[in-house]
Amino acid sequence: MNPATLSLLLFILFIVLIIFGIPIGFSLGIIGIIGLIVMDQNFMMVAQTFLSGINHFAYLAIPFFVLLGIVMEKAKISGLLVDFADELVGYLAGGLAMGTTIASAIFAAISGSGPATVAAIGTVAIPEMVKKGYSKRFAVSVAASGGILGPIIPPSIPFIIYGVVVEESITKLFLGGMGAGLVLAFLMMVLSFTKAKIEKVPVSGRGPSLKGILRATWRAKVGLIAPAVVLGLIYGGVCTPTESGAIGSIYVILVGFFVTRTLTLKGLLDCMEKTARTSAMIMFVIGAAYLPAWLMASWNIPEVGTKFILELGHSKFIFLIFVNILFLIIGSLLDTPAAIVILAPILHPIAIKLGIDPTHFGTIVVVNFVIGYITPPFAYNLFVAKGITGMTMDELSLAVLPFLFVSLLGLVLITYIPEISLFFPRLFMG
Amino acid sequence: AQKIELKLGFVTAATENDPYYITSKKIAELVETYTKEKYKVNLFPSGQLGNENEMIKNLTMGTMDLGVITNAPTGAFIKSFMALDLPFIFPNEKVAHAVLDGKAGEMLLEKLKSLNIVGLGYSEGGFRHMINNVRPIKAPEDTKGIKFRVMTTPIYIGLFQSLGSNAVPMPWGEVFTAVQQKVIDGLEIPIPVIYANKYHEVAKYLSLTGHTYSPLIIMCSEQRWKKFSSEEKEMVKRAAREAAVFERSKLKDIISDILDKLKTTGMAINDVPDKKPFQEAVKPLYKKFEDEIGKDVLDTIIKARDTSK
Amino acid sequence: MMQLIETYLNKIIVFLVSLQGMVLVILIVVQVFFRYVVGRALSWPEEVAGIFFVWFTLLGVVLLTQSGEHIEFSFLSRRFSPRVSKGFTIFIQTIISLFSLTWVIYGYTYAVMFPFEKTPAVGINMLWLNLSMPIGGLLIFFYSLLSIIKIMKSSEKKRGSL
Ligand code: NA
Ligand code: NA
Repeated sequence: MNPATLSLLLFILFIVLIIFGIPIGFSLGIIGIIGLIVMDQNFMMVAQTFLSGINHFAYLAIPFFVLLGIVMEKAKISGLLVDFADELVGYLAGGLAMGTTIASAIFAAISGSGPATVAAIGTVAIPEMVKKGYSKRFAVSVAASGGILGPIIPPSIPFIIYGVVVEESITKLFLGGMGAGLVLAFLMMVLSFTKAKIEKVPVSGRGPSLKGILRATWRAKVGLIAPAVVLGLIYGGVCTPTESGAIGSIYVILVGFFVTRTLTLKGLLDCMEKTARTSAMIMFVIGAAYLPAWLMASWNIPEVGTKFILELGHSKFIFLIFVNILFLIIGSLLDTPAAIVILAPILHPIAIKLGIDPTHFGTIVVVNFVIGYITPPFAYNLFVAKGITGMTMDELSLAVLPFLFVSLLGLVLITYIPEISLFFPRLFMG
Repeated sequence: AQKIELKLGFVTAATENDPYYITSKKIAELVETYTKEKYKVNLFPSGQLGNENEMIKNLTMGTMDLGVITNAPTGAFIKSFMALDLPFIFPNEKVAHAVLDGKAGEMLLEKLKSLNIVGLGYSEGGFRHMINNVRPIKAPEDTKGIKFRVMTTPIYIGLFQSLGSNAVPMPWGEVFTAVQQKVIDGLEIPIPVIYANKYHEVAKYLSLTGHTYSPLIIMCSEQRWKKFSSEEKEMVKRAAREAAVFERSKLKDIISDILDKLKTTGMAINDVPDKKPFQEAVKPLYKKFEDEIGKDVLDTIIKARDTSK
Repeated sequence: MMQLIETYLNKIIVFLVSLQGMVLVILIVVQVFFRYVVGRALSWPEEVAGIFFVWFTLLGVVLLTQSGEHIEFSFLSRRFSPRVSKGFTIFIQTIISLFSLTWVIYGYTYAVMFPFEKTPAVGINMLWLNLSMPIGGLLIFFYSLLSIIKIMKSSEKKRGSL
């Protein structure tokens, strides 16, 4: 059978398995085994691809950045961040909504995961917004969309996966996400401001107060120092992202024990267990994806794909549209790191051949992937929001639409203005 | 008739001046010519089929047919190969070629049989040198306190420890940024790789220490090997040997060409005329790894070296 | 009896992963401390952490299988009547248990195929890492079998979803 046809058939089978409710990791494993049978290859590849797939030192950063988010939430630091952001912009129209986005961005600079960001900030901010006269739909959409900043602003789990798979520096890729995250946060805040004016959300009436800001900054200090620790260690040349994840974890654990005093030994063990579960959820899918990825490589799909796309014309523009559409479709069907493991080795070489900067391309892929967190049917952030508010998925999907729209606008900007992703890498690394 | 496709894997990118690629491309060409295109050799660069450790296993399991593999990971499976990674074991390319193409090299290739791999010959990545941002290295003392990134193998780590510097194991993907960010001060590296990865932009000094000679081992999966006719076996063997000869001579030109280019970049390049102190400093390493490598193996190689000088 | 085994096994696994999580953090902090503060880089923490991490992941996967928390779609099965849904869950668990057997069999053959392979820097036998897969597979097999038995016994539908 022609490898391209075979790949397509396996993909269809994969979708069928998933719809039937087989967990994604097992579905990937099953299509991988079928691929091995068809190609008459050694079954031990199941073990080899999985074990050496997950055995990358950089992946160790994933549990660390998950742990950071979980402990930060447990240590009740997210509430302080929301207060701090509210103090900064709360007096404007839509101020608390904008503050939620800011708090999400700060939390994003500590945690590597989207749903964790929604959980941490949303739990505090949604009831607060509703209390201050925002509609529930508005409030929930701000928090759910703020969550997409989690994996875009560094540290970031999708960037780690991308960096490992295409062997680009994660340190550098993280900086690409910084610019992209700030642009997205800005667009979301503009939307909140406009929406609040239109929906006539009550304005708090108080003016900006330097004293209030200083006081809130002081109170939120432990939370504000955390991103400085995590990112400062990486960009101060002290250590790699994985290592900064470990040191950051120790920092928040100490804060939880001795500063906020909300953490106990029992609580810490609970956090560890939760981390193990969340991290295993991600790592299982990553590991299982290495077998289909290996099959694709051994069928020469990357080379065939490169030839095919380059024969269509050497247009960056068209290639990037293609990539965006592809990832948006995949992202709305399923949020899975598997997409990066399987597709990045195919698309990355093409991007390089077309002269696209690897950091820029990585940023496009990750932003695309992460927007999938708010596109139904499979929308991670909305699941979390559902848990917080009890709204139905249909209601949530509708509510989040305006924010989905500005995120897509942001994606277009990020795709076609490389400077957004390249500004910080150039600033920090010449 | 339909061509039989063979998978040849290597870990570097397919660029003109890359030793792995030059070797692989030549093998592919020659195998196809000699077998009158009965076989087609597909190249899988950039570790598409796995890193080197995985590729060795792929050869054992028969999920890859041919490979051009660095010596160091081979040593993780068959300890005798660690001998070739010992620092300063070969004084120059000529001696290295004589030893590897002779009985000593053949003896090592034979040992691959225990992994169900047939060893076909050796091309080369050339000598490895030191680059760093602290000072030029002329004597072992100059490495003191410098943080060098090394490949995660005991001999490389041991080399820098016995010189008195700081060996930092780190995955290759992070190294460039780490030098740029000053997380590490330098690394040890073959000359073509410096230029291909623009290390001259982030590292000041290149010291031609030539501490390690890096052979590339051309391997064939035994599962595939058994399917070749005895005539074809000869053809494949010949293809590999000739590809190695071709690559070695080409690499010589590439290195002198790249050295010239590096000189124009402002990188400070220094020779290390007196290697004696280095050789003295690493002597304990030979003793330390003697048992693992096998004393007889090490003696055979050293004897072969001394007679070919 | 089964229930008792499950409860204790669960406790042991949860304890192990929590401990491994702590050890991972500490190992990496030690690594940075020695390189950056002491000025003498160590090579063992990374390799030891690598082995712990693989076990941490595989035991985590076992826990997810036990509690039904994997990343999965559930809207199809949610639309079924309890009876159909029950059959469906049994079907899915059967597939999972069959799949886990490939981990047991081929994970084991793979592990013992390279019995002398060592980690590059410290020389820890890779069996310590590679055996995580057949053992993880065996535990997944046990839990999926257990959940099939449970479903067959129980009259009402009960199954975790995301
Ligand atoms: Na983040
Ligand atoms: Na989605």
